[in-house]
Amino acid sequence: MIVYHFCTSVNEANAYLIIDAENKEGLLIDVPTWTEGMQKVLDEYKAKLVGVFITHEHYDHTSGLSELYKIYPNIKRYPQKEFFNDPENEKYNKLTVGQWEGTILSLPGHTAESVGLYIGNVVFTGDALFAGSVGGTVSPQEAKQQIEAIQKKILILPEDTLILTGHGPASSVGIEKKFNPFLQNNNSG
Amino acid sequence: MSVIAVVKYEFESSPDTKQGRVLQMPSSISMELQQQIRSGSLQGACLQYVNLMGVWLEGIDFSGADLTNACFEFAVLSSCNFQDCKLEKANLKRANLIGANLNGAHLRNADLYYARLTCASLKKADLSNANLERTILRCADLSGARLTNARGNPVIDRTKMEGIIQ
Repeated sequence: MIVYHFCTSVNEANAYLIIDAENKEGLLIDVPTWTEGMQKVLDEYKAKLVGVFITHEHYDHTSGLSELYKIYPNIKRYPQKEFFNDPENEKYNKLTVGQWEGTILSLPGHTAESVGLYIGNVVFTGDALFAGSVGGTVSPQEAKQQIEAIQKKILILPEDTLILTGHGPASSVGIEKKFNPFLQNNNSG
Repeated sequence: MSVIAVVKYEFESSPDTKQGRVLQMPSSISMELQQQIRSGSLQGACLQYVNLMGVWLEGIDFSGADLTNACFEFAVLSSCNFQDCKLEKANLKRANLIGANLNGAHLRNADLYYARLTCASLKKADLSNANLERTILRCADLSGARLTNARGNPVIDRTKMEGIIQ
């Protein structure tokens, strides 16, 4: 599995392109903008874009959708609406990119519909979790909800799981468990 | 709208080997340097102008190394030991330096834009003329650090700043 990380000029939001080179399939994670560089990567691997995964509905993660739909009008969007009614239902919380199966994780807090994707040894966290920090929330209740979701869905993953976030650099589950001040037991972040 | 930077992560593991995340080193890095990185120690190495953009370097011991003008943009440098390193004019933009040891490091004119230094230790580091715009210094220790003409608006939150030199 290969992952391309694009740091874009849209609020420095990250987009990612997962490529299964063997099976020539790709999945786009967030679309702050759609660029020729992304298409070039797909072309280089002769990969078919099988879907677009949106971590949450903020403009800096979706602004490129309209451009993407012009080029790929029938592209499948993840998560499907049904996911939010039943996040544990495997009919809606699974997706595949070539030989790789991913699990969609509900991570409410930054927004009610925030989601992540665990695929291979990588978890994409959108704006729920950053290297050394967590996403902004509008109330203490949502902040608590977000921390609980991170603890239950992400910190249980193997410590060497790579974390790729909506903004900023990569991290790992082990690094975040050890250092992220928002995730320590006293939640004093 | 444009792309500011691109990083490629290539995994050696397959869906059948769930254990371990093995990231391949970029082919642009020499075999000799790849071996040194895998050994976990680059103590005292001379790596001026080296380009390690986006490379996973967690926990590497760089102590005493000369990393003048090196590029570490988007690199994962968490828990690395940069004690007494020369990092003048180094590009550390958007790097993950969480929990890194930068005590006594020479960071004059270094670019730490949007770098994550949460829980990092920068005791007596020289950050003269460094770019600290959006640099996250939450829970970092800057005791005795030199910040003469450092610029930008870093995130200061529970940051130890006793004895800093402005």
